[in-house]
Amino acid sequence: MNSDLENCFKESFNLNSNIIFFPVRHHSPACSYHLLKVIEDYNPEAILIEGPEDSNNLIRYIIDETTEPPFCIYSSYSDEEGIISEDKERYRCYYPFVDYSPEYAALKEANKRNIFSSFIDMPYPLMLVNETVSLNDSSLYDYDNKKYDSNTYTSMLTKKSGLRSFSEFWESYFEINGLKKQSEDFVKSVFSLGYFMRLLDKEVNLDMEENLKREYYMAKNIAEKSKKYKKIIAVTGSFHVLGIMEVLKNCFGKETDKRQEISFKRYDLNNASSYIIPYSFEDIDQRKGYKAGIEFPAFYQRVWENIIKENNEDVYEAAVKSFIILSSRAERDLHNITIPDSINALYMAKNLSRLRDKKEPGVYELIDSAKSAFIKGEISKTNTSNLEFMFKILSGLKMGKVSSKTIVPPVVIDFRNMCRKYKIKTTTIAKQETTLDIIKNQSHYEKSKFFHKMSFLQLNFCTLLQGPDYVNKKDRNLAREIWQYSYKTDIETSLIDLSVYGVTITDMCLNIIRKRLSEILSALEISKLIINAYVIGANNFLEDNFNIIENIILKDSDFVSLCSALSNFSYLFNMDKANRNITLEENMIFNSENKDISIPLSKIAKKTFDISLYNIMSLKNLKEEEAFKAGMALKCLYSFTIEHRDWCNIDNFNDSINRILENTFGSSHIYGVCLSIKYKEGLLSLEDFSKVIGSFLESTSSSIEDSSYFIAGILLISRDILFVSNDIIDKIDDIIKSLSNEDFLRVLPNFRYAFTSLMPSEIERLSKTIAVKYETSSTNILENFDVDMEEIKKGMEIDAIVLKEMKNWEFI
Amino acid sequence: MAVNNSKNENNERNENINAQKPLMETLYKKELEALRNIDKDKRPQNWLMSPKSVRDFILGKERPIELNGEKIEITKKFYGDDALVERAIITLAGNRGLMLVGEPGTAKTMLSELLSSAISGVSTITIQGTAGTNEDSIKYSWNYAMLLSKGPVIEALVPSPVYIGMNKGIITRFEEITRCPLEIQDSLISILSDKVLNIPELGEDAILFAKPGFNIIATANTRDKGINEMSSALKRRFNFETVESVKSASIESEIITSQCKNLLKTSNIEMEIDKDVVEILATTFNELRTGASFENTKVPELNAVMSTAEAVSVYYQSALSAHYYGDGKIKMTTLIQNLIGSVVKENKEDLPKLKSYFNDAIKIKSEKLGKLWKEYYNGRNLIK
Repeated sequence: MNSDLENCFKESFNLNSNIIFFPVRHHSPACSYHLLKVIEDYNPEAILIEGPEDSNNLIRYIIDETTEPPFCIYSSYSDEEGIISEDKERYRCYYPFVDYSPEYAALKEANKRNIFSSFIDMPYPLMLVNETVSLNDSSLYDYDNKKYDSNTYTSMLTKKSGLRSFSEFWESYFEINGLKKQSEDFVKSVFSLGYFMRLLDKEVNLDMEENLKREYYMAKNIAEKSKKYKKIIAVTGSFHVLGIMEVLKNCFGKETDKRQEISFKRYDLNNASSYIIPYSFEDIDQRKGYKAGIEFPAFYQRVWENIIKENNEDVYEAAVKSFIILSSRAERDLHNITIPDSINALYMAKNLSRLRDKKEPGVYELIDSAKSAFIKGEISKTNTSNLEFMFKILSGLKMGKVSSKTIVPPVVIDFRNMCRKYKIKTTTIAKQETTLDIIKNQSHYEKSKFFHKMSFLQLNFCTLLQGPDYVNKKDRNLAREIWQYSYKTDIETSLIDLSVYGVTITDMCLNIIRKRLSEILSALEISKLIINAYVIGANNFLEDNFNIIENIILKDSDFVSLCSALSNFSYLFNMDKANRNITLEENMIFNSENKDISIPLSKIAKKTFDISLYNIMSLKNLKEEEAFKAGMALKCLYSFTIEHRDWCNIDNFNDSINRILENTFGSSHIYGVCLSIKYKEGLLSLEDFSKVIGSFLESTSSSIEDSSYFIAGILLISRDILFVSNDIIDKIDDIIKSLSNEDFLRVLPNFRYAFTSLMPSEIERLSKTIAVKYETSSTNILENFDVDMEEIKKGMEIDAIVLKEMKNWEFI
Repeated sequence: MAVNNSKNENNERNENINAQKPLMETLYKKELEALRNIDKDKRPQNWLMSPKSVRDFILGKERPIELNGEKIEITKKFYGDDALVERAIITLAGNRGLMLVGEPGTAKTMLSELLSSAISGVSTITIQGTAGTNEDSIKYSWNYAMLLSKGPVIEALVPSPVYIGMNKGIITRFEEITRCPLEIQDSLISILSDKVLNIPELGEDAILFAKPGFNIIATANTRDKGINEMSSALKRRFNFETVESVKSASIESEIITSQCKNLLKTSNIEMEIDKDVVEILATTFNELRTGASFENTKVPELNAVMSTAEAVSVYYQSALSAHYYGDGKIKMTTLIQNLIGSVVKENKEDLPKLKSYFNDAIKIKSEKLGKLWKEYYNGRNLIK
């Protein structure tokens, strides 16, 4: 052994000295096992642990009996001062703990022995502002662990061992073999690993400066604590041990070198927070979770349980065996793993471990054995269900628990209370479904509101599978909602991230809606937001923010957006009115507090109407392709004038229509729509209207497309013109007859669009008129539509029943 | 019966290094000897070497081994998935057969030959599966002249490769098992599970018990007939290993280099392997197979199986052409012609796709890397 390494190790791990260092790799069962033994031998007065110093207040909750791993310390920092970047972003970081985390084992043991324990690493926000790490939304422990995968030394070791990855190498040499070693030998091997990794990293100066800052911080904390405690054990990543020792010697020893001192940039503590959050194995599994990178957590959990139970005798083989048995016990229809397959798998795992010079088979042999013994046929996308199943059980489904006494952000408490109130399971991450009768059942309606709020927060907690979509005005006739939801621990962390917006979920939604108000929104978007606010029960939203909303509408010059907003306001008003008519027992969908929204709504609608009229002239410059949308908007506007005549100045509206018609340049479609409105308003006689239509169709026969756009515009508003006299039908007929095949096909879509405005009864009537003209029957004219056979059968059955009933009632 | 089980002839054949395709046990005779010489580990009964040595033989050893004063380098012979080889070795030491499946040209046969030559010292105990394979080829048949003269006696029995494998406790290879009719394949079921073969013609007690060391390595390609038709009862008797094509172009280069070296050596052609040509070939095959080019151009998907074995064959053909008709240097035009030959095997429609690959990816490469790539690109007109 290298003499420097030997000396360094002796210095770091002398059970007779005041401070000993226990090097670890995070999430290592072997490290935890030996750590407990070393604590027993050394009998320290204090245990100092690599972990965020600002979370020391959480230790009492971590060691609480009711807290069960997996859980994590969640640290967040909001860069309000713009120290990190001008964007003033929000940062978050996780410190996951599992049962076999050395850090957790150390904390629990300290508690058991009633000795001092503390985290000594830089708080996450301090790392950020001092550019020690830049990671966001991931785990710091796993960030440290990843160093092993990319280090030059570990890569060389892995290659030499012939194993596939450093993780496999670690499992073989440090976990399986490590358990059988004496504790001192084990500590030496982990220390050596860190020593050489550091040596090679130093040569290439990889992240060294960042590491030095953390090591300085940890050393400073150790030095401080050593004044009070005589025997300290420091549990840190193996990579950092040497660095900390050097700093202790150079900066906090007898002869200190002032030049090596590091001063840190400060940050506002009010912008930082940390909590303990329950986690699940699924979240921390490297294969699925993105916030932590623990490999096969359920496997190592089993190993750890075996270690505790059996005291390191063949614990890995026992774990491998138990997973093979577990997989064979799974649903036979799906996985089809027989007992001989399991025997074969165990044989494979044990012999592979011998071939690979491992003392026992580990998780990699287990996976290899599943590949070989459980897959019958070619490994392909469709043939790996057994292997996938093995991966699934290796990952596990365990959910952590956090002591109820712990400091939990109010929003999480609110969320948990809501879940309790509405009987939403938070003990499983499996997807669940619930059907809510939102009209008849008060509690269902409340629960629906909660789901709507959670859905608005976009936390992937719940999805509306079926039910009325008020915002997008779809399926509004439905009276039931079907929600699918699944509880995941990251919902709570996401809620914490959003906690800047409020202390309850309702506050949060409201504030987010308010925040959205500050964004550049169109009238249509704001109208949807208003509906959204009502759906989640934010009744005062419009009134409270009237000026802002009014400003948004005033600024919008998009005619289509304004008219669509107007249509939404009208819809909201009508819904509110309808709900108001329902008795109190039968709940209201939007406004449970029965607050009258009609006044602010009418005010804002009037404003929107005025602005729409102000922008109406923009319709003149539209191209025909764009005119369809604008035509629909104009129709919305016109409908609004009919529905809410008292809210709008109809004279102004008619003036605007007249101004558009002052010249007929521009879109033929808009021209048609305006002409129809004028006729409908009684400002144009039927005779004149028919004449204008007739002459337009005749004069533009050379431009057949214009005619088709024009007819579509006319029929959008006044379909009745077709039935007042046969003139119009004759003109259209003449035009179509004069078309060549090619031209006909070109304008066919426009004509089809034009006639989609007709109601079924009108189509029937029109077909009769045409039938008379062509001396045939209307059934010959009407096309046969492709209808599903099942639908036809069902229709016929209903017809028969109705006919029978009508006869019974003597209607016919 | 295709198998020649006469010991002398067999030995003669094994020793014949001048065979068109020498046997693995002949080609790597020294490596095998060296490994056996130092092998101290436990070995399964009737195995000539321990599982670890078998692995070292196939996957190579970092340091050479000394044998009679000579340093023998143990080369890596199978690339791609080391764990697969390890699993295959463990399977063969157990009581299930080994089924190697995969696309054509992924070195399944080579792996099975390497395994059997390392474990049993012989890779010739083989059944070549075809539609015409019958139960006799799997169990035994009779020398009818002797049968008529002496009746059903053991001397009149003509053993099949499976019979020989069971009798001697060695590995039997079954090539292209899925090409055999289903019922013929199924005659292996009882052999693999009970490890006995009844010979009722020789009397009630005539049972051949398989000696330890017997196992079967079967290969099946997933391109043509696939393994779907195999009965699930038979599937249960095998551990399946899917041999995938090589993912990395650099490993493909290594394979082409080492295999072509051997091929040229057996053809008695003294010729250095041109690394640049190998690189071009490996890149082309790799990109056309994976559909991803280094330059992010769109690579058309060919119907042809662009296997590494094909790449080896293209290089070897080009090398032969250079040796006999040229100055010993592989010309890009010859390479392209052989490449075309390899592509049109499956489908002529692949040619325009190949041309578009040249016009796209190879064009950029020729601009960037110049030299031989330019010459390669210029030869694109041969693709018609």
